[in-house]
Amino acid sequence: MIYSFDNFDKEIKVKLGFFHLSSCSGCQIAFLDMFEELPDILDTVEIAYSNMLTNRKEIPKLNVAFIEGTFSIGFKHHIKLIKEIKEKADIIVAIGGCAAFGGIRRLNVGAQSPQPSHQASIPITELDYLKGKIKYVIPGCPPNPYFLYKFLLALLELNEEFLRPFEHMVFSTFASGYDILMEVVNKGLCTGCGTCICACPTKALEFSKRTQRPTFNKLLCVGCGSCLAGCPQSFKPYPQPVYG
Amino acid sequence: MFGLYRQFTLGRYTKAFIIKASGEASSKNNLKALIKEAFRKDLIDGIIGTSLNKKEGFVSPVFIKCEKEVEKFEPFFFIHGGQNSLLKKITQKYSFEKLGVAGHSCVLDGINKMQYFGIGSNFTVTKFTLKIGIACIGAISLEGIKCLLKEKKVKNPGFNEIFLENNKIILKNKYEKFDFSAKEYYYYLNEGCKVCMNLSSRGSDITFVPSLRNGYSLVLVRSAKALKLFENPGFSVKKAEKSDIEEFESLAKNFLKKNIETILERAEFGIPSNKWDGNRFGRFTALWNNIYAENIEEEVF
Repeated sequence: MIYSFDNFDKEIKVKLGFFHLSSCSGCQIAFLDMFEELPDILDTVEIAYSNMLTNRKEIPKLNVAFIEGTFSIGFKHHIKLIKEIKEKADIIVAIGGCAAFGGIRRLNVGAQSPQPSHQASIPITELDYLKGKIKYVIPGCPPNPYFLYKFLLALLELNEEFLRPFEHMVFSTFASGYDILMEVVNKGLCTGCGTCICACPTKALEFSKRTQRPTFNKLLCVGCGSCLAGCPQSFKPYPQPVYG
Repeated sequence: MFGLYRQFTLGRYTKAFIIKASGEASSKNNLKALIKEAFRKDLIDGIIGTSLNKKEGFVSPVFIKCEKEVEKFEPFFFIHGGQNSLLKKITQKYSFEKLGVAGHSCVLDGINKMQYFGIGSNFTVTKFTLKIGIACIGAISLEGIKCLLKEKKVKNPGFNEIFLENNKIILKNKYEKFDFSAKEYYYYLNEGCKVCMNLSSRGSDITFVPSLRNGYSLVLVRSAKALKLFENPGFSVKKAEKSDIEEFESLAKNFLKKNIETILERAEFGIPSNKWDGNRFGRFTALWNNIYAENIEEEVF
């Protein structure tokens, strides 16, 4: 998809913002982990807002807002934040399994410490309020720093081929190791290469030597979507109708 | 189209050789010689592959850390064994700078995709230096192999080698050789391999064809780095004749034709095929009917 950023400043730097909803902050830390490559990007982008990296209290006008974590229904701070982001950001990117598909927060029953005020949580892709604003979804728990770097480069260069799969994932509301079973194994596309097992951050997928297929342990799955994103039988180079 | 474009079946390659390792003539020994050469020339300091575990009767992924370990390596073709699942363990346990991979096209596809998008660990993205693709007519399960042997009325279906010879698929154990036609083999093929268009492992530095002709196996060189393997090598090497290439090409064509039929059949029933959507079907049809198209690989694959 082709879009334009409206609010460039005089130096023509793309303004990025990082926002933290209900999550562990791992995605933002993954972003900071691309320490070697980060200075290259800082010539062209400006981190205009981040609760970890900047002292700003007010959210400025942004070109791209990266949101991590789930939205807690009824939690005043999240409601205010989402309204403000929608108003001030040109586009939103849901970063990580929680913001994109619910992730480990799908297992949350709410009203627990340390945040008993968080009663129920949903991924931001399920918010109708943000429909059209969320342009991309980045899977992973957390996403690989190199992946984030390449994503940022693709975003700056408008590399549509790279971005297209992540644009399609916006329309998914659920992800888990079952995707590998439903979309790849059940549909007769699995060749037993083992890439999904390498991509899984929690070892929820294991390889069966007998059947030469992945086996899925749902108790360990955090629903980050990495397995299907990594599978060579899903999108490449064109997006496939994969997520439900 | 098949007749016109070798690119379609074999992909682009710069040179083609036939190689033969010293000792017993077998395609797995030829591959081992190639890997040893890569260690000797310092192109790699470790390699992942799939090895047959004779005791357990399983094919499992292995990580070879030095030239000596290549001896124990028992490459078994056309079964994947989930070798990419090893990558995470390798990342956590070892520190290698030049990792090689010997795998079929989908194993390489997995790695290429991880490298392109950066999915998975950083290690997989940055450390691969040599990709030895293994030409694959399609993977088969161990149960499939046992059934194939049962069809030949073999009572105790042990096996330790699989390769291509004279347009046939050969399964071999200590004492006997069993040959299967493409039709027989195709019946037990993985469903996922019946929609594959990349039999020659295009996304690799070098493609090793597990064929055997007078003890020689065909190798297609695709990158300058891989060409170093053939400078004063420790194995016998000759320039490939036209007939050497055509032998594999005709078998690959045979399988590709069947695969195209399967893809079209799946499309008719509305079942997705890997990497194929409406957009790609459109491009494929356009190219299929256009004999002047110059670069099929970039357009379709």
